[in-house]
Amino acid sequence: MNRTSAPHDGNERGFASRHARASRRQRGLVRSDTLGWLGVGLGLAEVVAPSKLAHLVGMRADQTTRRALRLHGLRELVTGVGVLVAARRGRWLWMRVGGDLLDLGILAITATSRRPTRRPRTLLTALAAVTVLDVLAASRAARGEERSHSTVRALPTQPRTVKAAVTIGRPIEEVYAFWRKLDNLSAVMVHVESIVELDERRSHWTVRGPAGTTLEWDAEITEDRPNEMIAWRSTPEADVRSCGVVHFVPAPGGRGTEIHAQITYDAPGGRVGAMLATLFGREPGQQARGDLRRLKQVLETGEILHSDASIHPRPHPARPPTKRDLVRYGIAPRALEPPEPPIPSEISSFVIFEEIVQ
Amino acid sequence: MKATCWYGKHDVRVENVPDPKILNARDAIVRVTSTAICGSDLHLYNGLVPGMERGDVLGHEFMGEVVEVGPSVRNLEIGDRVVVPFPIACGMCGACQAERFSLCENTNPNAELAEKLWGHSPAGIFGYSHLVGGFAGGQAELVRVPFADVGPIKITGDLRDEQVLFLSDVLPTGYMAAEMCGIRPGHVVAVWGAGPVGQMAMASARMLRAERVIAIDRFGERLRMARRHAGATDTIDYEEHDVLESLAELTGGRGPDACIDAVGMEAHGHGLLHAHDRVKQALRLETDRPTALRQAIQACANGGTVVIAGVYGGVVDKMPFGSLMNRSLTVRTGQCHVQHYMRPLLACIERGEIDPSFIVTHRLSLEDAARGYELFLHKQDGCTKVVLEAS
Repeated sequence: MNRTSAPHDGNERGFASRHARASRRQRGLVRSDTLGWLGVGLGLAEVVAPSKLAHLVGMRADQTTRRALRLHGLRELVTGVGVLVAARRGRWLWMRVGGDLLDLGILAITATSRRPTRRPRTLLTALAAVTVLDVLAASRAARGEERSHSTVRALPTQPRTVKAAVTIGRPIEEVYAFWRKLDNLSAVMVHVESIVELDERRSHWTVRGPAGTTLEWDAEITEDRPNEMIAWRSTPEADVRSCGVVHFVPAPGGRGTEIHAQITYDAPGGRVGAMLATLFGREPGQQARGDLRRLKQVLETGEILHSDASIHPRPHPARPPTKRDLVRYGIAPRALEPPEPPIPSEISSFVIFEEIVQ
Repeated sequence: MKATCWYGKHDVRVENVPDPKILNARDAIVRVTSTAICGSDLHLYNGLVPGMERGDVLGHEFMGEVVEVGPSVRNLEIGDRVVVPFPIACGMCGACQAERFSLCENTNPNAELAEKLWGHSPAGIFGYSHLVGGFAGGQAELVRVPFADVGPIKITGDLRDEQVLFLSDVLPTGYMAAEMCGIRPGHVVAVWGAGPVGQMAMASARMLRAERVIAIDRFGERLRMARRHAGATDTIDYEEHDVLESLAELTGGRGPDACIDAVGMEAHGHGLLHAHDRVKQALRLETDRPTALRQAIQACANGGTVVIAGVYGGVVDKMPFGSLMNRSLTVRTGQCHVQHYMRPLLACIERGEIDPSFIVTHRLSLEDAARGYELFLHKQDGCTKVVLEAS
């Protein structure tokens, strides 16, 4: 479809080169990412091949040592992944520091014991160096200096494009106006927690990411042609950089408005990440189609319909929810109230669709 | 409240589940007085419909009394006696505006699932798998009815439940099938399956002035019911006679002008092809056994119409497509747009032109739902339609 892709391709190219520039800019002395990967690597080695590792550092590879190394490896893995993935990596870096101190302590005890390891000094020195780096990184994170390249940035990324379209039986002016008031979108986009409009063009997005993470970024509208199209892109320091364009086209035969949306974003983890996301039901194409469908529901019927099963985040029998479910998912059961006039283009306050991502 | 819950193949249980609540502004809660087991519920019972979860509340044919309404429902009041159509429709989307309510674009929260299987999604349906929404069904004491300002029809006269209950599904479904036949004076209509939908289709075809109506089934009592109550002029027991030969004989070799498949995905049959279908269905290589549909196509007169009212779920084998194409047949089908037909059909019932209660053979209480399914599945004791009385 030429009319939707033409303005977009340019964006995509610009986007890729911006991406490269941004990564170069962010290389510091020792990035906490590096420490995260170090933790993951060492942890894996300790878990998978404890005997070899013990031999390498000059420890005896008896059963106790192997067990201890495995436990240490698990700890390294957890804190390493934490550093790489969590939005607030500072606390994970401090956990690494804690682990380092524990290791130093144990090593000091072994070094002074009757059966010292063969290369205690080398090991102690290396560990002390890592500890210093961890402390530096942790305090840097605490000062918020590393805020910008947190999280999923550590994973290899690859720009991906998602397209979705829907026909809404409402006039184009109404559909455009609804979309342009960006705050409206947070009610139909299930993974969006909030959208705050900063000014005419800029907005701040808070989105639930995988595994309880939160992603935030600023977006700016780059082109806005009323009742025709809106294009936007995230600002360069965004967690997940993205750009998109939405076209509003009259549907033939007076059937309302066609929405054609196209979004390009940095897929965390590249192709593998996208595959994993699909497995866990958060494939963005699906997400986008679902979001557009809910937008249609709100514009056509004034609210988003719940079924007995759909209020649950995972497969669940189609039977009425318990009161506890409703509280957990933030759905207020309605008592009888005086009727209000229906305003199709406004969402009734109680219908904020809480698809639940724990 | 008590509700009939699905737990797997041939396993339904009446259990206590939470009472439904108003979740959307246009919801109503209905206290069910009468509900029926539909032939299509047997597809669920036989475990052939994908997208079921253990514990799903079943039932899409029900009526009762309104006990609670959401703030945006202005046409219903507490205490109203209503029959609820099985498709859930918003009344505002393109499909609803065109009165094709079973294609409502806004009532399937799991549209994504349906699109994977069918390309696009139809409307949500009560108690009929998560492919069509995951809505709790009406074989229960209480049921939440979304878009209650669009679907339910008020019953004001002194008609008994059994006379109006079937407005929820089988009467409009049968009527729509007959209507899709495009019956003109002198037309002959053949109906495969003399179950509830088949009976309604036959009665409707007669109302629409079909010259002759031929019922095809293997149960004597159902064929007798068709003759006695539904206006069938001829019957064929397919276990005794060859269907194609008999139809040719009955129609001077032309074949019926319209053929209605009121059987669907679990047809019975004979011979090698039937065995082949049973095996492929058991192995999940085809989802549906289209014996009746194949016959309906082959039997139909040149230029005639084949109407599919029976439910199909997925893919079928060995469809005689050459027959459709080379003989200019028209295929018409669809889940019934019940909301479109309820009012005129209620008027027919009120005028005494049709009394659909003749199909009821068994009346049980809701607690006995499991026995009802069992009876209906095995057609024990002449079982044609089970009505469950809930309160």
